[in-house]
Amino acid sequence: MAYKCTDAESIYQDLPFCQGQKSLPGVRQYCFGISKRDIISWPTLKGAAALTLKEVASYVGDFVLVADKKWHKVGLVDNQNDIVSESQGSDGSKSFKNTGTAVIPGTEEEATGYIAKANNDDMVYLFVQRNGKARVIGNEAFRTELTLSQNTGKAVTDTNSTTVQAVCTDEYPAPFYPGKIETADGNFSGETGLVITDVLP
Amino acid sequence: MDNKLTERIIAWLNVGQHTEREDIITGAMMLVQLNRNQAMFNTMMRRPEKYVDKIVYELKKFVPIRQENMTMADVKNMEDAVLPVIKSAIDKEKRAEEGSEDVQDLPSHGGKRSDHELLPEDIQNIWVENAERWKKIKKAYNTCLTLTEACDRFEYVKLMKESWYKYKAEFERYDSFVINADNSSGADTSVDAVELVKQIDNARSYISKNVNKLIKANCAADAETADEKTKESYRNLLEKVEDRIQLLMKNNQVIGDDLRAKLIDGGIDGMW
Repeated sequence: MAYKCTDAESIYQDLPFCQGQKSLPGVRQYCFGISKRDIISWPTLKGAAALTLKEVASYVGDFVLVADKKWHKVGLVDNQNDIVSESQGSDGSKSFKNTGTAVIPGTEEEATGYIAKANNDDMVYLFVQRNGKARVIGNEAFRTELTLSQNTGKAVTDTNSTTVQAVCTDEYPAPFYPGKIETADGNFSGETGLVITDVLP
Repeated sequence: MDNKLTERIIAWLNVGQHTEREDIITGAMMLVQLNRNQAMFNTMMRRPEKYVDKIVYELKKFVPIRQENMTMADVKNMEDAVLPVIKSAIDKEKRAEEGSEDVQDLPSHGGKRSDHELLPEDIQNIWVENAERWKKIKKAYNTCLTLTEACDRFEYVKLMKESWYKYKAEFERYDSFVINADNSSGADTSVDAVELVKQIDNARSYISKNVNKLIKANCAADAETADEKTKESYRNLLEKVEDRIQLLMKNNQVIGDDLRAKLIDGGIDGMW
C-alpha cells in the first residue's frame, strides 16, 4: 500500500506588496553578540508546527543567559553591514548559509582584543534591521564560523576598520528574534529595537 | 551584577513549598544560570518534583555570594588571591616545624618581642588570639582542599580572607606598640591598628597641605605691621601642625629633611 504524506501540510499564502509600502535596506549601526557558552537555553522555532508564513522563521521565547552575562553591543560603521542568506546543499538536504557582516570602526586595542578572543569562539550575533527587528546569525545545531580581519587603510580617505564576518548554516534564513535582548544598558525588544521598561508590580 | 536575579532567587526561596511543576522549573532554571551544570538541569527536568530539595539546597549556596555583590568570577579571583598566600604560610610553618622542635612563632611574623611580658594585657593577648585565628585559617584551608566547587568553598575562603587580614593587622599593632608613660596603662590600646594608620595618613596629608601656608603665616605674623588677628591665626595653625607632628613622632614616623626644613621655616623648632 502506498505511503500517504499527511504530516507536511502546505501553508503557503499570499505575499502582497502594497503600493507605497516602505522596505528599508541595511541594518542599524550596532549589533549584539554573545558566546554560545553563555547561553543556557534558546528560544524555539515553530518549524513544521507553524500555521502562517510569519511564524516559520521567527523564534518564540527568550534567550536565557548565564547569570550576570549579557549580550554585548558592538557599534558599527554605518552602511557597511549586512545580512545575507543563501540556499545551499542538494535536494532534500538543503539549508541556508547565513552571513552577517559587521564592520567595527577602528583597529584599536579593544577591537583587536575582541577579534582575538572571538577567533576560536562559537558566537551568536543579533543584527537589527532598520525597522528594529532583530535577526539571528547562529543556532544550536551548527557552529558559527567567524572570519575576522583588520585593515588600517593606506590613504587618508581609506577606512580603518575591523571586520567580523559570521557565517552559520541554518535550517532557516537568519531567523527573526522578537524576544528580550538583555544588555548592560537594559533590556531591548527584538521586535521593535526599543528599550523594554519593567512594569512595577 | 544582575541584582534582579538575586531578588528572584531570594523570592523563590522565601516561598515555603514548591509543588507546581512550572515553579520548580523556574528554580532549576535559575540554578543552571548560576552553575551552568546542564547535565544536572537535564536530570532535574525528568522529574522536577523529586529534586525540589536539591534545587533549594544548591540555590541557597549562591545567595550569600550574590548578597556580597560577587559573581562566580569574583569568587574565583578571590580564591586566586587568598589561597596561594595561605598555602605559602602553611608550607613555611611546616618547614619551620621540621627544622626545629621548639617553634613558638606564628607564620608571617618574627616572633615574640623581648619586652612581651611588659606589654599591656590586651597587646599580649594578640598573640593568643592570632594563634587561634591561624588555627581557624588552617582548618578552613584544609576544608577547601576537599571541596571541588567554588560556590562550596566561598564561605571558607571568605573566612580565611577576613581572618588573615585581621591576623596581619593585629600583628602590626603588636609589633608597633610603643611602651611609654602614656600607654603603659593601656590608655591608647583601644586604638585599632587600622585606625592608627588612618590617623598617621591624615596627619601627613594635613602637614603637607599646610606647610607652605604656615611659612607664609609665620612671615606675616613676624612683620612689623602684623595685627593681632594675623598673629592669632598663625598661632592656631601652628598648634594644629604641631599636634600632627607629635602624633607622627610618637609613632616613630620619619619626617623627611625637606619637610623638616620647611617646618622650621614655619616656626616649628625644638620638637626634633
